[in-house]
Amino acid sequence: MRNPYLYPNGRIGALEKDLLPARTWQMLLSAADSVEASRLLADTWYGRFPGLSQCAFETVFEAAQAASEQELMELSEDRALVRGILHRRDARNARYLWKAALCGGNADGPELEKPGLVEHSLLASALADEEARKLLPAAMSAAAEELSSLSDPSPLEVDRILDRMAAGLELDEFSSMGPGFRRLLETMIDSRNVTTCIRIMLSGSREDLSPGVLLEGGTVSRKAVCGAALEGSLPDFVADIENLERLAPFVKETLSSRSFLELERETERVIMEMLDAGSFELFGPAPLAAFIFKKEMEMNHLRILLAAKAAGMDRARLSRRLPRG
Amino acid sequence: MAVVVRATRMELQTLRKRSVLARRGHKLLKDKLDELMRQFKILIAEYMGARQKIEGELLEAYREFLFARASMRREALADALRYPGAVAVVHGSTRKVMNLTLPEFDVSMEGSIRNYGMLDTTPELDASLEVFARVLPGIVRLAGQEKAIGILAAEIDRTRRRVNALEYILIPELEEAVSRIRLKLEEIERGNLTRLMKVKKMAERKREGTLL
Repeated sequence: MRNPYLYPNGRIGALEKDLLPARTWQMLLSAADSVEASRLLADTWYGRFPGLSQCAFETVFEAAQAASEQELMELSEDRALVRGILHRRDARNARYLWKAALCGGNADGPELEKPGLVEHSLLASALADEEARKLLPAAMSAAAEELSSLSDPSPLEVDRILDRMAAGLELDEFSSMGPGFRRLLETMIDSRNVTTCIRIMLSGSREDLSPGVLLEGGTVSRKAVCGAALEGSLPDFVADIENLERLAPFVKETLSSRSFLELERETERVIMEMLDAGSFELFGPAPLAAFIFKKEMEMNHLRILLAAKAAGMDRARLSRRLPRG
Repeated sequence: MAVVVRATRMELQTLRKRSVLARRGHKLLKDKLDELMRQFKILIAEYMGARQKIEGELLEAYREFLFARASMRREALADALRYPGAVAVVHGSTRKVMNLTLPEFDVSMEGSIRNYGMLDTTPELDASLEVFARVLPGIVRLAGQEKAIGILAAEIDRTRRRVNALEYILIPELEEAVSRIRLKLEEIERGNLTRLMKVKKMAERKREGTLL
């Protein structure tokens, strides 16, 4: 029987050549300013998008993101992948709309991203309308239900429910792509939980640290992470988490220096290495999803680099944050 | 412009009194100017030190915020900052320096700076907001100091103009007028004396003619 992913995975193999190589990153890091960096980028895959010569980087990245997603959705025959990609945008829009509805904020409406698979109007009505909720994915519907039952919730409470919803939605849609990809998602959740613990500890509100504020679905339980953080043994605990072992010294360093730059860099490096190792099912949707993740990380790093260059930041400080070059 | 006066003893006495008063006023204003300058220098030194400290902290906060802004979606950043969890209350008071009312501000923060979820936000945002919250009272205090410096500078300017007006215009003019009146009175005195001597001589000559 013909494998439907033969062509898409071959195509992804070709598209991966568009990812910026280490040499280009070195050149970008050495660029004197953002204008020089934009000139270097013009010779890469990003050069095809208008706006680069005017240094309108956000326009370029939005167009690049849309192009990557569109191409993958056309290639993919897996509905879960398409849903996984587009529902992430829906989850973000749901956050902006529902938080504005429940917590007020200023008179202007919230800024929204373009819709994924759920229209803005449907999301906006989902809090009040039970019929509209039924049209949403299960995780979103449950979150809307939970939120509508709260009376006068704080933005923090709303965000906690929506954080869990976004992570659950991602895990639901992408976890069917094989054990390799599931492992990647679990590692990402583990790292987010560890970072969340450190952020709460450093903000001086230890009493807020409870398993409820962490995300479900990691390789280690929320209770265990929370317990280790409260006991002060988080670095040792991280040293025992599979794939995150080498973050242990950086966790220790972050707790003492209060700077997340190195920890963020190393966490992203771990994720990038897992994506590059590609221990996914060869002919399936996982490499396609991995490509989207790689592209997103690349654009995120380019945003950081260009913003730093525009602000005249020195290379040493930039290297503390950027896991490239 | 010279002071136009009648050359009388009464006017001379009045002008002398005015001149003494102007000198006393000049000395007082000069002392006030010196004290204002001293206070101004103290305020400037405090202000410069505080400003440098705050600028250093703000630079660090902006660096963190740069990473936060670059690694977050624009909409997510706007959403995170849309619902402030902390309220800053500004308390205003005044203090008196050389009879000038100078403002003083203080800020107290209530609530939590971090009022957003963890999934769509970055730790750099926490760090930058923490620094912004820490420097906010300093910035408001700095505004009070800046206003006080402005008020002191305006008072120094006004006082210096008064001192200069007394020193270079009023006092010399009064002295010149006093001197002119004195000269005029002396001249009148001499004229009277000469006239009296002439009358005396004429009277003596008339008496000698009668005797002969």
